[in-house]
Amino acid sequence: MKPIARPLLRLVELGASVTLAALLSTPALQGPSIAQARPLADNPPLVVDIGGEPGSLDPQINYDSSGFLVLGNVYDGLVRAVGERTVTIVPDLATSWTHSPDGKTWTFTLRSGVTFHDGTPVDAAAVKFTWDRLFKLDQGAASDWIPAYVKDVQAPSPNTVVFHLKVAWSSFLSSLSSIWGTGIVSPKTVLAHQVNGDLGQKWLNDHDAGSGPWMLTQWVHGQKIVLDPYPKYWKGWSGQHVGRVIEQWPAASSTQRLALEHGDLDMDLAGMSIPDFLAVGHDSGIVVRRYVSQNLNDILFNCTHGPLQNRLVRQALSYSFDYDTMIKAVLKGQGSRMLGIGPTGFINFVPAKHLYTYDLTKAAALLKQAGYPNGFSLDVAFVQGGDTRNLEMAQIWQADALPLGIRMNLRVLTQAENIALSHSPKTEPDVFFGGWTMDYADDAQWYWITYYSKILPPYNSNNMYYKNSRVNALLEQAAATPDPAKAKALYAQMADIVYNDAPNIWTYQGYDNVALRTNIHGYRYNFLYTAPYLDLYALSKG
Amino acid sequence: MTVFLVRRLGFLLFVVFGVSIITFVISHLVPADPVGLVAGKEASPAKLALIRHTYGLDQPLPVQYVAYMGHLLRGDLGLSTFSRRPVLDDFLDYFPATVELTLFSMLLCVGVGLPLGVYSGLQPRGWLDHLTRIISVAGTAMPLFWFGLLLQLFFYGQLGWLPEAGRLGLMQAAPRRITGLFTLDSLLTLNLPALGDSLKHLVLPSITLAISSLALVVRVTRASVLDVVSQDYVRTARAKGVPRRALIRRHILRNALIPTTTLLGLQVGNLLSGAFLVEVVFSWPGIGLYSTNTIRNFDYQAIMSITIIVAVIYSLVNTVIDLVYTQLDPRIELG
Repeated sequence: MKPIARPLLRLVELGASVTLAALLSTPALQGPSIAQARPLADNPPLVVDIGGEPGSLDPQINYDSSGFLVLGNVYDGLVRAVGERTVTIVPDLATSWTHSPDGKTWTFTLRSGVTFHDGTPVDAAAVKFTWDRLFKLDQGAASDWIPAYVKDVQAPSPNTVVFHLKVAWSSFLSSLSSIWGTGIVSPKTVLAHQVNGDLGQKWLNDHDAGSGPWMLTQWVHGQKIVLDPYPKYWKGWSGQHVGRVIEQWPAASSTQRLALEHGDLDMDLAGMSIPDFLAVGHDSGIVVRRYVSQNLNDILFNCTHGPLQNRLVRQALSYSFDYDTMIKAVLKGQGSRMLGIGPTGFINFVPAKHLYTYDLTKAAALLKQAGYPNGFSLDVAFVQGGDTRNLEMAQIWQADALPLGIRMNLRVLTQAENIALSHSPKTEPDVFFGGWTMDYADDAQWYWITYYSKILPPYNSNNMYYKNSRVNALLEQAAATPDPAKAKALYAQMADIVYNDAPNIWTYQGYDNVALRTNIHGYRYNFLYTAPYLDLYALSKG
Repeated sequence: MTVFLVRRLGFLLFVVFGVSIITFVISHLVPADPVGLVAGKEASPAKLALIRHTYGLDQPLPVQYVAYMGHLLRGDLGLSTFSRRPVLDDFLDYFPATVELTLFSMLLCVGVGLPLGVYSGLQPRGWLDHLTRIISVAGTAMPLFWFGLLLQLFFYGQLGWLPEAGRLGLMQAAPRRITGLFTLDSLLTLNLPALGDSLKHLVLPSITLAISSLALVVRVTRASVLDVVSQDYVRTARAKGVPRRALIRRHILRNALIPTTTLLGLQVGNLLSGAFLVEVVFSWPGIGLYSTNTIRNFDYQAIMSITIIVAVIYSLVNTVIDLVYTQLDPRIELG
């Protein structure tokens, strides 16, 4: 008894005072921090909330928006996309490019004098090495589209890279603007850390082999990522810049808001809830900027199920959705109506010739014409994210559709469930809420993965199982047309057919909110890369 | 004792087996596709097949289970589909934070809850007793996340005395890793700045996590002390002239602590599960925050491993508590 009881009793006597005294640490314990060892030490650091911790930071593997800030600033690509509302492709490592008349051979001239963070030169061999690595790993998002079109990559001279395509692809240059997959890696660093022929995959999960303005110097899992400036960056470091970047991902919106208000956080990139963004906008030291995002939202019909096989029924449902009320009441104005089958702002956006409006009379007439005057039941599913938008919209729509005799049974799914159910038209719900953000600067990506029916889920996102041979033919022709104007004309024809077929309801294009303290300068929103991306090189603080 | 330990270890194996079966079946019955989440929406058939093969998902379910358990017994917890790292590496990164938070919360329960409970029991109906009872009722009734938010608002937002979230300040380097517990590692490496900073960061989350357990400890200890004080042997000892300090130590506390010890053992499990909420509120990079991410990404290997490990820890703690009983009260025999 004694060995246990005595220490317990001592604990009783001493516990409270010792514990509390230990917890309340004194200022005397404060000391030097790692900030003193910072390169370009006089410039203040930038602390930014990126919304979530990234998975792998291997540029050929990562496929989550939390990785944007690192991948977009640590690695250079051949080209980049810029623009707040419309997108332009601009040079990055490539200074110029040409393509053959048939559109199958693209030649890029590389910038000279650029070095990787390991000091080796960025040359054509490194570009070829990167693309070969992408093909071999076959894991990231870009490996879904690049190998389908690109036959091989050649490096005929140190500053010339040639891409040979399998077929002409009108979206090729746009596809290179993606942050995913396209960051050029240093062959020397990758091979030095290769284990069992993994092309440095394990090491690059949380290390860097890039040539961008920022170096990944620290990743404390679960806590922070630290980027420091690369002193030999090819643009140099004259002008105003932040001295270090610290990325965080506080889980709770309230935590982010407090830190921002307190000045411990400089920027919040779409991590907070909408009410918190609206609230901090009233604070004197904080400005909230709102941008039209390329993020599109829609409601998809399973075109193989019962009444939904009928185009008139799908059109009737499109007329039963109260677009304006949803945007005003549910989104609190944080979105605008979709004006076509893809988001505005990219090269191949095609505005719809007429828009479906909220018109229950018209919807009833269409249902009668389709042979369903008394309506039917629908299984309506949605993924519940961090907010209740989809639920609220579904409930309003459910009430609106009831007078038409349409009874909607609402169902909440996880994202993993949603994907699993979509693999077969039999398991796919009748109706489900969806959304998409383009990976590269072209609506054509959305058109292809959603409306092309020669490839079906799980190998693309045509979860409606929508089939139209004319649409397929137009998509194939448009993609293989080197002339951008002709390609767009073909996409326009395709879009008209799809809009009339109404395989989905195009609901709204969301807004991105970015909150920053007023002493942060140089911020520019990027329409393609959306809010989770920042051009860190352009930012300064003070 | 030996028979008891062998029996409990056998029971532990049964628990691990049961938990692994239940978790495995549930995670595979859910109509979810982790490969689809990893691969993206345009993945080719070959790529999907490759990913399924990499994670062993192309095997029949019984084969997958046997393979998983085989790897588990060799200390291989599988590969996270989200972080693409071994789950064991992730676990070793995140778990020490939860252990540290739980330990400090337990320290608060023992160091603050026990003295308050004892004092209230010895001085019933005094002002401190009334205050203690109010605090203990409030502590039990308040939702953890709400209490945490209040503390953040007041001590960080209003007063600015304590940090809001995380384990260390952004400019503070972590101490050299020995155990993964920042406070302990700071002490072992004599890194006083890191020690001070990590202690500061522990204050709000550990108070939040501890509050409901602390309230229970206070209430149970107070009730036990009140009960023991009225026993005949205490009156006899007092009549025999045993000094007050010795009376409390030898006759009152020794008997009153048995129910509290039971409670403390059970609270380890509660603290571990409570840490899930507290870690989200305070962005505390522990196993709770990690689990939230794994569930969100349907990272099922990580989900299974974390569930099994937490079950093992809970069982081990309860075994230790059973051993402590016998030390506190010789009348209790291990069966």
